[in-house]
Amino acid sequence: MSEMVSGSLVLSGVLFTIGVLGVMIRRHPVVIFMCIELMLNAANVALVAFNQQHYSNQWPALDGQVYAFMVIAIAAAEVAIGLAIIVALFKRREWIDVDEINLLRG
Amino acid sequence: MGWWLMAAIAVVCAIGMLSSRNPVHSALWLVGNFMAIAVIFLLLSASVLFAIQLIVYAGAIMVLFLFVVMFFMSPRLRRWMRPALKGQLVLGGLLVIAFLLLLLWGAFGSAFGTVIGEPSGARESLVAAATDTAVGMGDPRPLGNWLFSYHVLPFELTSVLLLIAMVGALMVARDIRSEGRDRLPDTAPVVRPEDAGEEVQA
Repeated sequence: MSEMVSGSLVLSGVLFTIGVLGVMIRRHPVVIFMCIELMLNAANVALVAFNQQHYSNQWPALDGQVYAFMVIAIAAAEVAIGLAIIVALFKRREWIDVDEINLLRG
Repeated sequence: MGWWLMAAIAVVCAIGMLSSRNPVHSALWLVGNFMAIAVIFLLLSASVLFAIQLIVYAGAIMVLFLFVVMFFMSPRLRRWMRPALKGQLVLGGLLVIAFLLLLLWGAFGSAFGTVIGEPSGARESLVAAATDTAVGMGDPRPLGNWLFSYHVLPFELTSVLLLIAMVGALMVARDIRSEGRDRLPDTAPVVRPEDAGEEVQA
């Protein structure tokens, strides 16, 4: 495993962990969404690094890059829906706290 | 070495996003992080993803974030970093360190690197195409070949998903009460005669 690939895996883990920390300690819903985006990006870094590791002329597989492509598309859809929910919540009240959003609680 | 510089920028920007109180500053930090990750994609010879990362993430998605933040945020609110539980920061930090160790163990400590299964089937044409034209890994043509040779159905499903997300976002974010008229000031609700009946077919 080349140094850059292993380093990219470590970077992916670090970025994902920072995203998890942000989801746990931040309470602003938009910032929490940003942290989720950071986690998706960290996963993409790992996918591309694995692709680089396992690519060869005998077997020119590009599955990792294709998966990262799909992750980006799904992240775009997720951001659209999530921000629409946040907009709908901001319309109802001045301030929203993620701990206070319990409309869907059964 | 460029990779180390970009990794350092990515981590610093991520921490800056986490620790800035203003969501607009968080968004700007996140743009820096996305750009650093895009350069890392380029160094990992994924040039198509480099372009997509810059256009979609650092462009479109961050514009969406800033749009929402600037339209719906009151800048005087300062409750963003107040923890709800006592010791939430410490507990979160400990859990996150354990999680990072778990991730690194999973990547390097366990049975990493063993090939689980070799894909079967005769795919000499792709191999020949990749070797004959002597294109590198970062060339977009092999990626397109690969995408439309083996992942056509997920690709098409992605388009359907994006359409569903668009319609769903419109449905969620619309304001039913003020539909079809200008927003009135917050006084007593005015019931106009056409509102009393059935819903007007637009």
